[in-house]
Amino acid sequence: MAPDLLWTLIAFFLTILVLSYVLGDNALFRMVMMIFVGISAGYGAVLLFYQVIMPRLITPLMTAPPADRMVLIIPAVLSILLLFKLSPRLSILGNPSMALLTGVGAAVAIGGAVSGTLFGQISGTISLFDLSGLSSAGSAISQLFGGIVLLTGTICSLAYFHFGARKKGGENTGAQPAIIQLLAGIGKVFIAITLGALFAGVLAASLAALIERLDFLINVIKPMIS
Amino acid sequence: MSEIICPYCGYSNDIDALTCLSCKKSLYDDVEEPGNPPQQEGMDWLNTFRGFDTKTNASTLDLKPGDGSTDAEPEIPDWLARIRALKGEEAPPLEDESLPPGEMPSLNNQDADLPDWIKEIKASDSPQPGKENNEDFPDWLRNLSAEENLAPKPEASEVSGAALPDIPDDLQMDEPAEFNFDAQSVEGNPIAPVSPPLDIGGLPDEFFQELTAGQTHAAEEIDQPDLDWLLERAQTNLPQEEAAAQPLDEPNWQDQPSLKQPEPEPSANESEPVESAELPAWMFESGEPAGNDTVESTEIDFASLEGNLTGIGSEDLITTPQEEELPDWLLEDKAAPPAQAPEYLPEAPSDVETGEMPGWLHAVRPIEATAPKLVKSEEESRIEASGPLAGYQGVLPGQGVVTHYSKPPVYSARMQVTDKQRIYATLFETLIADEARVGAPAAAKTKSSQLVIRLAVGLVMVVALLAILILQPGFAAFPTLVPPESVAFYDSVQTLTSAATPPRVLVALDYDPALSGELRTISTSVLEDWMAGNSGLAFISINPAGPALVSELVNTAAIQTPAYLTAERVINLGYLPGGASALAALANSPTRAAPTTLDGLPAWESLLLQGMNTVADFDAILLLTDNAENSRAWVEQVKPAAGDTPLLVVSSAQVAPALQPYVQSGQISGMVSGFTGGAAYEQLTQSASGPVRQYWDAYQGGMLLIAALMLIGAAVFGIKNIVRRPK
Amino acid sequence: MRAPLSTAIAIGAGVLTLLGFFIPIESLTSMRSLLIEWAVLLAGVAGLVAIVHLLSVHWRKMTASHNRSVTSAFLLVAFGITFAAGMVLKPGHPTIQKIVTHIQVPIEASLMGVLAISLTAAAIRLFQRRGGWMSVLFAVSAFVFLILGSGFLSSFANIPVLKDLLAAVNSLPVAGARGILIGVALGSLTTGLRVLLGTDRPYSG
Repeated sequence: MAPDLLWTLIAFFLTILVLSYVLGDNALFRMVMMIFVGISAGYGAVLLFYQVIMPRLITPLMTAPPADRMVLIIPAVLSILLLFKLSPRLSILGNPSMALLTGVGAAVAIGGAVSGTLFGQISGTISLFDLSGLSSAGSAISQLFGGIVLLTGTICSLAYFHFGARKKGGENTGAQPAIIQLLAGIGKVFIAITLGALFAGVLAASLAALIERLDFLINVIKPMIS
Repeated sequence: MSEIICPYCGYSNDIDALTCLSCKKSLYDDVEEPGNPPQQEGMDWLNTFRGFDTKTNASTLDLKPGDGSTDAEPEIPDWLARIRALKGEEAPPLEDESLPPGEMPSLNNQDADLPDWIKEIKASDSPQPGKENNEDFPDWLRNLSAEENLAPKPEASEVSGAALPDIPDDLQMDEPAEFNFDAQSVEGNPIAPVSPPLDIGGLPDEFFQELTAGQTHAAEEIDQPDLDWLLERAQTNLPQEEAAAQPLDEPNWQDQPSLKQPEPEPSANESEPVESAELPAWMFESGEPAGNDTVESTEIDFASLEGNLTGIGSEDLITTPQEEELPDWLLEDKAAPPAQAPEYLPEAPSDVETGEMPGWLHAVRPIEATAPKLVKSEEESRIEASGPLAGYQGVLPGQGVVTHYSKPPVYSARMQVTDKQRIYATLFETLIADEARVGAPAAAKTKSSQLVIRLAVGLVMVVALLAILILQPGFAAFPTLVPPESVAFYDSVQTLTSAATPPRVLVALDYDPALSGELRTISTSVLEDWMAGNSGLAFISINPAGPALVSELVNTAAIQTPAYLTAERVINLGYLPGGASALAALANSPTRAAPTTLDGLPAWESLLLQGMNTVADFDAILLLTDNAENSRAWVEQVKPAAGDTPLLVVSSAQVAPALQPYVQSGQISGMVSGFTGGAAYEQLTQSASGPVRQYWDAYQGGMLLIAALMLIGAAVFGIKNIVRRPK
Repeated sequence: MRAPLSTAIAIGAGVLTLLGFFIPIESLTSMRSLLIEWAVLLAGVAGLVAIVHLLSVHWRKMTASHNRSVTSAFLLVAFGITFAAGMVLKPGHPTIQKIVTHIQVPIEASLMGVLAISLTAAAIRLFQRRGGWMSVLFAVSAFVFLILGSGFLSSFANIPVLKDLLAAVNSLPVAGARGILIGVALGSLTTGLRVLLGTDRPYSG
């Protein structure tokens, strides 16, 4: 049996076993899930070793100039400390490594949120009202209307998420002004529309996956039948 | 369970029986009615708790200080008589029934500084062999010793005793039973309430808070074995004003007798007069360990109060337990230090009458003397410092409950219930059982209906899609309406690939294997166009499975462009861990972020990537993604560093709505999303046999099928709901 | 203060990284680069730690005296084979890549296909329970975007009104999505600042 055919058959049976979940949970499905997790973890471990540990730590420690090696001692120590997270008793030793990860991650998130999303989206919202490049009055009115709708939707969605009266422990933490409540109510409409679009998108993506898998099954079976 | 047990004879009767078939007595008499002997038998479980109560000081009787309990033995309630009978022979005779009046072992090493008279007392109070700790003494005895300590401060006693009439009615009458931990102790210590309730209505709350703060603090400090601070304070000879200004440093002398020190040292108590002598007299009038400025500012005429209160029945006040007034049983104790009280007497004001041991105390004595070891220690003599119970003694459990231990009582693990309770439990169980019988089939029905719907939907969808895929009917028209972002995407690709020099593109493969079918199908056409322009493609991924998917994607796309040299024009930079941080590293310096290829070769020395140092050096960044969060990270971290380099996105349909704002703001230069976008792109490229076109029938058919099923479901369940509504 | 060393490291690393982001001074930017590279390395090590922990959990489940999990053995065997092969052949080898493309991909893609069926069943039952107008609006929105996503209506693109209408409807989710994006960005900003100020210390557990 050719290796490619073997791999194809493996994929075929795995597809069948997973699709059998439609009929209900079963032992084979659970077994396949465990295999999947094991393979993912194994491949991930190999990848991390060869793509991260080797080129970023081991190789530089062995081949880099002494000055660079001295600098590398810090992440090497932090990496070793991180291994103590495996022990419940000694996991506290891994906290400095986690602190570095968290601190750098927080700074990266702040910088990205400010320069990437906040500035970008605010300027994008403002640009909707830039009518300079439009040729006709009709298109200008159309764009203006669209800009007003988008601006209203954005502000109202934010109002719904951030400024609406929230319930805490079953009680309102405080009544909001009527205007905020109105904005939050409108924001709910936009949020519902967006979530509906996202739901439709997930359905479309999963349908595409189902189609691709069924097509794969057909392509495996068709040569056998013919 | 459908039976009623007769509370008189124990016979099992039918559930609907009103009288016992055996003894003919009523089954529904109020078994808790006092004075009903047969019902008392039915309350065996309560009797067991009585035993527990006596052991744990948790009597639930509502005895209030100053009530008729001061009468002699004939009026002793039954429970008390029962305790006497039960405990009379159990408890070992106490060798020392009186308590040394306070112990402060930390002062032991200060003997040299003590006056001679204190040393004499200390000698007489030194621990006797076999003497037990305070916790071994009955509480009434500890109260007595507390009274001994109170004796040198008769003003406080008088005020305390006089406070009783001024206690608000609600405090007097509504004292919760659970607070009355030991009725005997309350009986034995009728003077327990001290000054705070005195003028509770006339003084501001702050007064009591500050006034009692010192006591509270001292009570907290009292467990500290080292009380050197007390001697130091005594030696510094602080002036009265300073002493009054520092109430928190004053010891809680009222609590000293109940101290539970591991090695009792009577010398501690002798230090008290030294300290007391330095304290202002009004402090003792208030009954508190130390006053403060607030006390002075309240302008209470303590002298007049004292004069008024001394006339109140002296037997209710704290009295000095003179030796001749002590009962015989107390004098029998060899270890008792009868000489102590006279030592204190000179400090007592002369107008205080010495108290008499009331008759009721004599009556109580035998029971208390034979009572078992009790847990109460400080809490018995602790006076509540704040709250509505301020001034009451031993009404709330305190630190002693958690710090002092005694042998735990033995409880029965078996629940003991009355017959009435059993009946109620039976009825409740029946109700629950009925409810469960109703709910279980409903849940099973719901679950089975869900399974049926899922099976039916699965069958319909799989059969329909298989039929379409096999038959390829070609009923679905390819979209002619192309989204503007797809047009922008196409324009960018065409612009770059038609340039004189082949573009170099950073391709971010950032999707899970789950959606590889969709994304591979969409991006194949895109990659074909890039390959047709002989573009250099550098793949990188922040998804662990990404590097392995690269070869599959490249090989699929290269089928249509056989002239494209994948070995030279494609490089796989592998995997970057760390999410947004990894992308920040990539944006900062791609050469350091991804130094090697997936095969471990130095990536940036290859012909394809030579001379490139930043992401802006690429001609375009192509992001293949199914993840909104990662896409946001790419826009936030990489796009600002990329400058004018366009960020093009091929996305799954599930993230398209989330990425639309970035498209609208121009941060994403062009986007192809889902099969719809892929079809639009193939439409733009005039591809007659693109991969999306092969699936288009099935895709459109499936989408319409889902929409139809959704509509049918809405109609069916909507009608059902409308029909149900009138009910 | 709880975990003072870790807090100092988190705040110091975060502040230096942030300064290197906003202030273009060579020393700060190089320090930022260094810290981010360390973070990437530590993220990789953390991934390995997580994998080892996963394996230890399943090993315990497999060797437990009670409620022994037989399926955990499959996980461990699959891991062992993949890891051994990967370490020998390296991740770029075609055989190792086939493990992903012919085992991992079919499983995950099939799961996604099952999700399509489950979501359709859920969509059918959207109206099974009486919901508020929000749920109705959600269902209507999902239905409309399913039709739009199918490309069915684009066949009628020559109708001018329909074309404008479709464009308008397609732009409606952008408003809500932009609100969500800005909200998420504000949330990231707040959370990040709390970490940098030492108010949140998720690393001190």
